[in-house]
Amino acid sequence: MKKINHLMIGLIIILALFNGCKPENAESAKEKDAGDFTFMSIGSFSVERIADNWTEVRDGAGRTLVLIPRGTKAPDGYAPNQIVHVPVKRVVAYGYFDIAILKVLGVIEDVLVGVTAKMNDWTVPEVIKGIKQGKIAYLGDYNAIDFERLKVQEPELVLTWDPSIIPMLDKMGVPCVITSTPVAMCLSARMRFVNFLAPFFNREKEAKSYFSRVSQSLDQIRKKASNADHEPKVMWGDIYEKRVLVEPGNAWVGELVGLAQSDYMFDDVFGKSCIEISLERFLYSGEDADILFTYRTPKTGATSKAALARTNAMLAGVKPLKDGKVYSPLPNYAQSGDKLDEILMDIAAILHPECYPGHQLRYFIELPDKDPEKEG
Amino acid sequence: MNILKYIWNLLGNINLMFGLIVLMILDLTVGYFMLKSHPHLFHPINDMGFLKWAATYGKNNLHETAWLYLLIFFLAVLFVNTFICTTQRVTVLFRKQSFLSHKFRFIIKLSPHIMHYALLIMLLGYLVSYLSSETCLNNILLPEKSIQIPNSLCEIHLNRLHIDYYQGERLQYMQDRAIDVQADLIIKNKEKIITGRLGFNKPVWFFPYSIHLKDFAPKSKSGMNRRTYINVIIKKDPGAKYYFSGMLLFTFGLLLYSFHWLMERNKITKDSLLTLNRTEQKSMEN
Repeated sequence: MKKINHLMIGLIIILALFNGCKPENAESAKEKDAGDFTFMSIGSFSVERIADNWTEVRDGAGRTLVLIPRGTKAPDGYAPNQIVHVPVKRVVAYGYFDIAILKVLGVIEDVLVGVTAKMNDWTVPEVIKGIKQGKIAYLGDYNAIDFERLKVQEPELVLTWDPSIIPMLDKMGVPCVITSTPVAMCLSARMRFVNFLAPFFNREKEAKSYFSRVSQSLDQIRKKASNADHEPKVMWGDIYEKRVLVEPGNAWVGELVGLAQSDYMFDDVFGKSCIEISLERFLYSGEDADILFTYRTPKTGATSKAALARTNAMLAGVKPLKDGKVYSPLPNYAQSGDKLDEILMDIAAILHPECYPGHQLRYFIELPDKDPEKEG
Repeated sequence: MNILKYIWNLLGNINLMFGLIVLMILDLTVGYFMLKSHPHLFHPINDMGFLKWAATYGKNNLHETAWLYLLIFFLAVLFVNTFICTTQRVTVLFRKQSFLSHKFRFIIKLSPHIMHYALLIMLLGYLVSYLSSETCLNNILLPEKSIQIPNSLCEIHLNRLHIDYYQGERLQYMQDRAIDVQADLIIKNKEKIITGRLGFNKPVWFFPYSIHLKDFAPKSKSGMNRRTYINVIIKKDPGAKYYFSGMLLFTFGLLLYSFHWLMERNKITKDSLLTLNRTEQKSMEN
């Protein structure tokens, strides 16, 4: 009897431990976001209040920076390139998502001074206007940044995914934040990334409102999808000349598909966003899939299923191209992170059109079987 | 005194060890799933140290991290148990005083205990490492450029970077992809200068620092055109000397134990051959 009691206690402890054994999702994110915090982990990022006016942050590469109010003395133990004076007034940003978050925080027009995409590539009105007015500078392609130009822009912070510029920025005395992560951002991290950037601009209130907006949208998706009568099989990726790239199951899109009562075909793939897998693995999933989201935009060749099939003969064999549906992102998709709620809704409407009657897609386009001009 | 003896015997009980092993298996099973579902919570422990990690990630995600605290507790008890158990047996060996007449045999009998003590030194080394090591992540080195090791006067210079790209025809998808990387470093301070070749799993040592390769670019000749660089981790780990000495001691104990095992096996073979010969002789005589 005593032994059984011990066994029961052991089992209860183990079950209690397993209670936390589910991936971080939007629900848990909601709980953690509520109220004041002293420490918050957001995927690979973290924010910690180390004193009343000091905040220590850890970026996507695990580098530590300390945020201190302007005009105050920096704490000891930090190198000059680790100290960021807040609110930051001049920012250079590489990533579309980082720039979209600046928009969410309501600082894009005031702080953005440099980008790495030409004016024609932009769909964000604030950036186009800034470039036209000469306030925002195009600093060159990501692999050939004009550091002289960057110096002229006098940034106080650089948001980048490219660690190779760190030595140059250190020399210039400009702190840098790596906003990419070694593994893809999960849905919760994608939604809460705004909480990481908010303390740089003292815009925590705006971050909270964005998070609750996206969170509500997610709740709606979950509710509507629970009424869905089927579970479509979805794949997100593409076959290129020498490599096959997909979104892994741990990425936010993979999680969203699962959350919207659908079956993500690369659920077992773990790693960074745009991860490489074998051609065989892609084709195996392609035998059963109903929907394919391609990385290619109409501008890069995804104008129809036939056009996509011409890019790679192997791709023509996957089921979505033969008798399923293929969706391509529109140019505004990558630059609209500030409207994440609308993007999530678009994806949910693609997966379950029966739950969203009359929904007009804003960020994706369904590819026709053939290019219109060739039909005649 | 009796209470102390009771506690000493209780902590050195072999059944306690079996119980601990079972509990550790269960705990590690939970840990496996936690690590798999929340890798980002545990990754920072490698560079920020256990104490800081426990005060931030650990404390704020107790549901996911409780298994690790339990594991440390079990390891601590196992440490004490192994120490007492081994010490009790070593004491018995010394008390017999047979080591004065059969020194070699005594040393060989000591071999399993040497391995146990080595394991304890290794565990201690890891504890020191997690409590007091300094890790500096993401030190970017560009070709023919130098960086300073943080909080020191040491300088690392990337003299040459050689990336080997696959040029064979058998694996088409590997064409022009990096398969090996070697970086020639010059590390110096006011007192000394050393050169070393850095690669994956080939750190360069500059006491008390070790330099490890984390990443490099470009990884492919085609595709995204990336700037050439290496990303290194700089570590100052006072625990390293403990677990390396522990490993050496363990190897020594293992060699002695293997020698003992071989001797015993030879003895058994000789004995059985003798018995066989005698049996054969007897049957011949009959």
